[in-house]
Amino acid sequence: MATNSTRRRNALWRIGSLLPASLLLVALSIYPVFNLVGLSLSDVEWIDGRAHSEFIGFANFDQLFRHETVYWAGVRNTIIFAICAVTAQMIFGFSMALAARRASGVTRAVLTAVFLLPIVMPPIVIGAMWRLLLGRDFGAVNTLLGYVGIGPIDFLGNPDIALASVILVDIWHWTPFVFLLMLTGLESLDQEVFEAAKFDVRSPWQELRYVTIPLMVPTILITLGLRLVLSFKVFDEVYLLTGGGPGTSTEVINFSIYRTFFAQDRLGVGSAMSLLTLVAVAVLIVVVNLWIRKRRSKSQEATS
Amino acid sequence: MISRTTRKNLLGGHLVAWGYALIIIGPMFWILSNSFKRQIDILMGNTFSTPILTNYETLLFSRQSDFLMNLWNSAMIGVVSTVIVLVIATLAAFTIIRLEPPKWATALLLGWALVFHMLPTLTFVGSWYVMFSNMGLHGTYTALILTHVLHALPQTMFLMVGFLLNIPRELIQAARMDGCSYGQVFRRIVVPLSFGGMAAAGALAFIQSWSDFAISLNLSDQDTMTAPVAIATFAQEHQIRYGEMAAASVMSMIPALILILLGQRYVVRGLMAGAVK
Amino acid sequence: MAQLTLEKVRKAYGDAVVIPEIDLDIRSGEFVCLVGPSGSGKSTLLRMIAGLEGITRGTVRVDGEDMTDVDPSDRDMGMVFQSYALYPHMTVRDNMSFALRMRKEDPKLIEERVAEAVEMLDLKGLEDRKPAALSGGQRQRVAMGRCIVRKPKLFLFDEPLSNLDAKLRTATRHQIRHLHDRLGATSIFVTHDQVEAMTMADRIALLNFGEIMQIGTPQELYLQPQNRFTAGFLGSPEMNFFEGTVSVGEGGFVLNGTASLFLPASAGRLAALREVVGTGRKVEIGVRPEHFDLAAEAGADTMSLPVAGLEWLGHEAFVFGHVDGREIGVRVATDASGASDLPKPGSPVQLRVVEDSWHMFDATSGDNLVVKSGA
Repeated sequence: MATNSTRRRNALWRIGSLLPASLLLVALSIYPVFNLVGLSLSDVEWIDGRAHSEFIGFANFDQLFRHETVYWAGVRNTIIFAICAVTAQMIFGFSMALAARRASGVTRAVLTAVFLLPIVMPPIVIGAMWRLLLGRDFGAVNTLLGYVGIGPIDFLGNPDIALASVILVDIWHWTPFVFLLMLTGLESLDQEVFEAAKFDVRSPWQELRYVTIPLMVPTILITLGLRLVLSFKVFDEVYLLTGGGPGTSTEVINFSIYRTFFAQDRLGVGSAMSLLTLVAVAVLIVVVNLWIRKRRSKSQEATS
Repeated sequence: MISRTTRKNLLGGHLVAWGYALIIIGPMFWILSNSFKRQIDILMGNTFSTPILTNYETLLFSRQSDFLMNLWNSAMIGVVSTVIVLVIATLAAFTIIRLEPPKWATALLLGWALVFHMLPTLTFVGSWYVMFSNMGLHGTYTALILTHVLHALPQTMFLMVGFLLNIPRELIQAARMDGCSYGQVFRRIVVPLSFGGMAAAGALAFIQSWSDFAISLNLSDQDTMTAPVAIATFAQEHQIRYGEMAAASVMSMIPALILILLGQRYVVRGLMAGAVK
Repeated sequence: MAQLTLEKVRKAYGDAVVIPEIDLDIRSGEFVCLVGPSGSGKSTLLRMIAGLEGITRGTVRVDGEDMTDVDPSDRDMGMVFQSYALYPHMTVRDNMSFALRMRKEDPKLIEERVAEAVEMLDLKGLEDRKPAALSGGQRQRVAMGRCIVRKPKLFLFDEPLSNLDAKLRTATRHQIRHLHDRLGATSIFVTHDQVEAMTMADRIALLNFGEIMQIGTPQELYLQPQNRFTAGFLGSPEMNFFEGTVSVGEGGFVLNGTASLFLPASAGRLAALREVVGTGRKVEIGVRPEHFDLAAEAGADTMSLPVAGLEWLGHEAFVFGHVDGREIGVRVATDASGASDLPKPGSPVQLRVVEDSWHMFDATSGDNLVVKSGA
């Protein structure tokens, strides 16, 4: 019957349309996690371009927890990196958005275009660029510092400041993103509230403290959470800027995984690292998510 | 009326913003100028020198350089994976928001997509490497395209969900009453009405693929190597050829520049929507 | 042109029951309005008929054929949506012909039908415009055209007039009814506006909380409301209600309640209701604003109303005041001379209820005892 065929066709469509996305996610993002579990419990060797694994229990994790000091240095650095970079990005981004929000149309368009650049250009190019800029002997930054009688500073070669340099590049990279999000957030607020507040507040500082910031809490929280979690992805720039060095001074988690897995061919330990990182970041994502949700509903109760 | 303090604040604010814009633009001009300099001028820190095209010529047309092929690989993988991810994500988004699949299915799909989107890509690359190697797909376009599609899938799906929500439910119901099956609704109504959204999501997916380094570094081989990986290899040679590295960087920025010039609106919209969801 | 039957139709979302159980019969060629307050389930019912909402239990039949599990795309019904739901990326012509094209009808026939509808709906010259370039009224007509072109078995309207301004709404009301008659269609029209229902419908089905309170012609619902809900829903200003118990008096009944009120009744009504009243049960008396006469002076059969406000509408006027905390509205006739002879706010007027034109509702069940007893 015609009617039944339509129904069947529609039922098929409903399943079929979700199938490609689901299959891809299952095959290439869920299965790999289980694959990692298997690999991390095995001794893996390459024979004729195929991985052969032999079950060895928790030996890889034992190795990871007891002897992989580089990885743990990476964990420490990544956390410092995430906290410092994100804090600076939030402060700079928010202040600039406050400053620029009443800009005229043309100004806005030009500023937006410029601020988009670091976001959309390949991170590896950012790494290459800053490697050239921060070079000790002929980098542009040292040339400029030379004019005022400072330097030369070995930004990437000095273990004491190499991590700070990497953080600086990340701030350069992502502050515009925070800026644009904050600007959009500020502009989506009900502008009449600010006009009404003109009668009540006595200084721009009061307006900021009692009107703007409370209204922006949801946007601030989301941006903060997003940047925090995403900064654990850092890899590309570090790869080109310092390669984790000197020593372990700019080692980050992803770089340890990369080196262990691909440069050293230690697949078992590399898998254990991947798995541990994956679980830890997943927990972080869930925690941050729940926290944002809780704070957001609280601030919505307060404002509504 | 604008009071004097407000005007002063406005001016100060503009100065800060323009100052930061300068900090963004400055390095780019510097690298642009370096790409037109001889190695010796770069090393000597000469600010002005006669611009030359040698770096570009060497990079693109010399026998030792594969960079033209690297660019082609990047473009090909970018275009193909963008097209595929747009189709897959739009299909899924339409069903998720308008055809009421079981709640658990939606929650699982979107929830995992969100988590996956935020997890460090490198934690998966090792596993993919082993999987693709065992299937004999290591270093193939297939492996790169599939992973690039997957990488862009969550973001594209969220964006399309956001854009498709703007298509009123009644419009789809009207089409159903007019005799459309779900598939026909999708083709005749949903796709034509979401070109704008697809352009935004597609632009971002392409940029993401074009910029990718972590995946391509480990899953490509000599023949399928993409531009970012090639740039990274410049830095690892004994004698770093700064001029060519700068020229390669400039060329890698071109798609991003084009997108900003032509589709700033779309890119911003996509970025913001993707971040807030 | 078709006949529609709903048999024991139920709709529930989990535990939330929207429509407990409805039986409804719509004759071929009939124009039926589904009316009710928001949340009464009228739109849901329409969407269930259309197939856009699933049916929890029960059967939908069109011309006797079971349609319950038929996909909306196969039901051959046309629907005009509240938002019109025109395809924004198609021209007027493409919008109207879409359904026929989906059915792969002959292009010649499609062209003919569209031309016919364009003519009928006065849309000439707009065929190549996109919906964004049309006015609200034109969009509304295109939405109707989209239905007409198909000659569907059923026309379904989901509050299609609520986005039009008042003047256009009146004109469109007439046009819809006219089209219905001209096409000999069967139409179901959902609205929350009683005026639309009263002016267009052959029959009105009044819904409340997913149940049909009364179904019948506009006259039946207005003049013989079966219950207090129907009586209160139709009519503007609303019917006036007085609570209390009733006793038999000289030439009528006497309400003993918050307000003491004499209810003149004919011998027939006296006889019919005498028994009901005798039990001393609590009732509500309903009197429409137009069913009061103004008395020259106070008497045993009048009620005094202190005038608080006056609404002069030209052909009629309404007097408002409070009796025992309840607002009372009374219609008074006006003549061309204007408002000089109307009651003045601040001074009382004497009201007398018109004989046999009042209703008596059971205070608990809400049933209209007058209609029930056949008086």
